[in-house]
Amino acid sequence: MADQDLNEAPEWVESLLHEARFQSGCDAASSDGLMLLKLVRADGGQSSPWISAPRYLRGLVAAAGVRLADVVRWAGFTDEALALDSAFGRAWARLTEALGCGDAMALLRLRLAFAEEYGDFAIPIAARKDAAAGRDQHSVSEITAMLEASTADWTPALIERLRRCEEAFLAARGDV
Amino acid sequence: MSELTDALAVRMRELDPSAVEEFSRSFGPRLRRYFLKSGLPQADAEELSYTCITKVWMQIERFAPDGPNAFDRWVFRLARNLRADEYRRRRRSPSLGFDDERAPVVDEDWDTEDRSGSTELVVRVRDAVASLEPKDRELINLRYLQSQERFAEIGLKLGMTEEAARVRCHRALGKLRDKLKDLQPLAEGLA
Repeated sequence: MADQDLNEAPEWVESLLHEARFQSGCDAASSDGLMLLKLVRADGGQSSPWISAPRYLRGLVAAAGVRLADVVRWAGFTDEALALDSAFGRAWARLTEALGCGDAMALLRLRLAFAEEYGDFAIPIAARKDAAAGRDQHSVSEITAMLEASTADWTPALIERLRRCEEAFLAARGDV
Repeated sequence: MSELTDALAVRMRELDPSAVEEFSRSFGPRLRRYFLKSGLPQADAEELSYTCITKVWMQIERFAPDGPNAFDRWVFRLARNLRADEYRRRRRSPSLGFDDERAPVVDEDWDTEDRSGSTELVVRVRDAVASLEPKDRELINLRYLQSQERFAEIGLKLGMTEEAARVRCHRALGKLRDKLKDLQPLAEGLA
């Protein structure tokens, strides 16, 4: 390639490419907005709030008729397997904030996810029964107490992972 | 234009997928101009435009038509609030390079300039890139469209040296120049 060709850097072509990139970014942002609006609307129709974070997310995505992959990408989850790691905590914070879900409820669902991973399905089931009985307000403290009791049996590694996940969640929410 | 955008707001509230690009093409460039005028650097102005576009969708149910240009005024009020948030964030983090003297330009100086040509521009550029040889196409995507990678990273991905990636990129830009030369006046207006 001759030197003069390299000196002819077509800046206006780069400007066009930059503009196309910006407009594609605007389109993606708009598409994400529609997806989030669908999630917010579907969230209002969820039957029980006492569901672990991954179960809640999968149910919400199905109810909203959006693709899990799009939600995973927007929120920043590692992948569609929704492994409970620090990235999950950050992404969960971003998603629940967008949905207008408060810290207490979001953290509770996060802990329920760890309880499920530990194998303690009794807590979510008990929580759902309480919710079905119309005892939502009381259930928050009761479920938290059940979780704390359950945590005592967890392996140190699981407890450490929960701690990291919660820290990532709180940092993303700007609470620490 | 205001009646059109007010009708657009109704379609957005009805979750009409055809409103996605119409909204982003109508408001994206205007929002970027607004943020640039308020003193933000180009990259930040574009990021904030994306944020604002997403936020408008999420808050669309709060929009209530209240006279002429209602939707335009509402969108730019959201933009002004986002700009104020960004202003506060930058004051807390001086390392972000905040220009204190230019910052508080947050009046409602929204404009209604028609951007109907932007859709054509995007389609033309995409078509031109799509018509390149596969390796050139991938290179342009990596460098300009899907990401903004350095030539060293591009070279690694495409199995060539950094210098070879740089030279090939110039050549690919030359091919695009020939395919898009009728857009040069528009492009020079963008620069």
